Amino acid sequence: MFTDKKNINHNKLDDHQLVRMYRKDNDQLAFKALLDRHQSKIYSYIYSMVGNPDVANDIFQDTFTKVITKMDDTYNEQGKWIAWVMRIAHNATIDHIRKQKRFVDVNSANDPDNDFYDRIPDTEQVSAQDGMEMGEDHKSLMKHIASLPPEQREVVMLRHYYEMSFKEIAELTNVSINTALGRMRYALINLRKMFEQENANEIKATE
Amino acid sequence: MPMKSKLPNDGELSVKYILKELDPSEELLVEQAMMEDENTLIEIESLRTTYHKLQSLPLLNAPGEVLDNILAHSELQRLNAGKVRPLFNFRTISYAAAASLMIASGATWYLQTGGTTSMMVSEDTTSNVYETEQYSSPWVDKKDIMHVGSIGAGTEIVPDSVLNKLRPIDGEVTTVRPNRQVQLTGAQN
Repeated sequence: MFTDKKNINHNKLDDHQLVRMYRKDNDQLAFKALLDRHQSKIYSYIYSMVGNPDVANDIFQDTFTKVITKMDDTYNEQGKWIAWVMRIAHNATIDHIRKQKRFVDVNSANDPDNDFYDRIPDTEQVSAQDGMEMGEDHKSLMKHIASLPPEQREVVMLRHYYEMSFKEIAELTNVSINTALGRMRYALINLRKMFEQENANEIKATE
Repeated sequence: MPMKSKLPNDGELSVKYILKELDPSEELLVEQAMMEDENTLIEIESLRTTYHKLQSLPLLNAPGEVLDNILAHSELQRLNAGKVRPLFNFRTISYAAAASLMIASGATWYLQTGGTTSMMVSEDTTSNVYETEQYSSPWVDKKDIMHVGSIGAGTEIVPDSVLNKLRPIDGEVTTVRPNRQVQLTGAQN
């Protein structure tokens, strides 16, 4: 961590100013300030979507590699920097999930009733839980969220970690606002069912 | 299975209500529906409870070594860019070359077409001046009509006998004979 005076000044600057300093003056401290400021939200989003720490690390690193290499050419300073980074992270995450789904589809029998997340190899789910150092409640919550269909999960995560409006979520995920709202609603309904099931199981176990 | 409610577009409205994205009139509509219909109340409250559970989702930090790798990559990328980057990059040079080419071709065209035009204009102007000078004095034609300036004069050669008839105007013009017309040309405003 930086403790010098220069870093304190960087932390006081907004994203726009930091991006400009990084692009024009090659200011590495500016880039570090941006990374420190946003890494946890981006990482949490990726992690919650893929459910595996190793995969989350790879996607996170790929995201910022793209950010570094493409910032000069692709990023338009008119828009929010974090929204641009978020789009890269989101696309990388969705790409991974699609590849994973293709892999699972090819290797499984054609069973239309099976949800994608039912078919993900168990090792991923287990390692995701092992990798998280958090309480049982958090583990349970993450497990339920991991069980949601990806399109519902992404709406929940984008809303939670980025406090995005449904208009922004709809734009990012290329659906209508009503579809995004519907996905959020079904995500909540599914989560409610999962919590109810979990409570029922706990009551049975104590009886 | 979600419970049926009397709320129009209940799915969208209830989610928007929970997430506080409704305008006041819509909010009032949902609250009214909740008061009138128990199912709507239960549905919205249970969804709200579930949504509040999401608030405890943890914020995870990326591992330190991953962050270090990213910072190292950033530094390396910028260093490389600094080494490779010439004083003027290719794009700048190509823009400058294109601009120079346009200026050069424009100047050439101007000199060829615009220069010629100005020369022609100046020649014409010279001849006009010459004609104007040549016929700037009043003169009288074969019908004893006096002309002023070159207009209407054409290129006819006026005989000396006619020119000899010219007399300077002295005094007022009203003394001119009525059956003779005097035309003053070349002085139309």
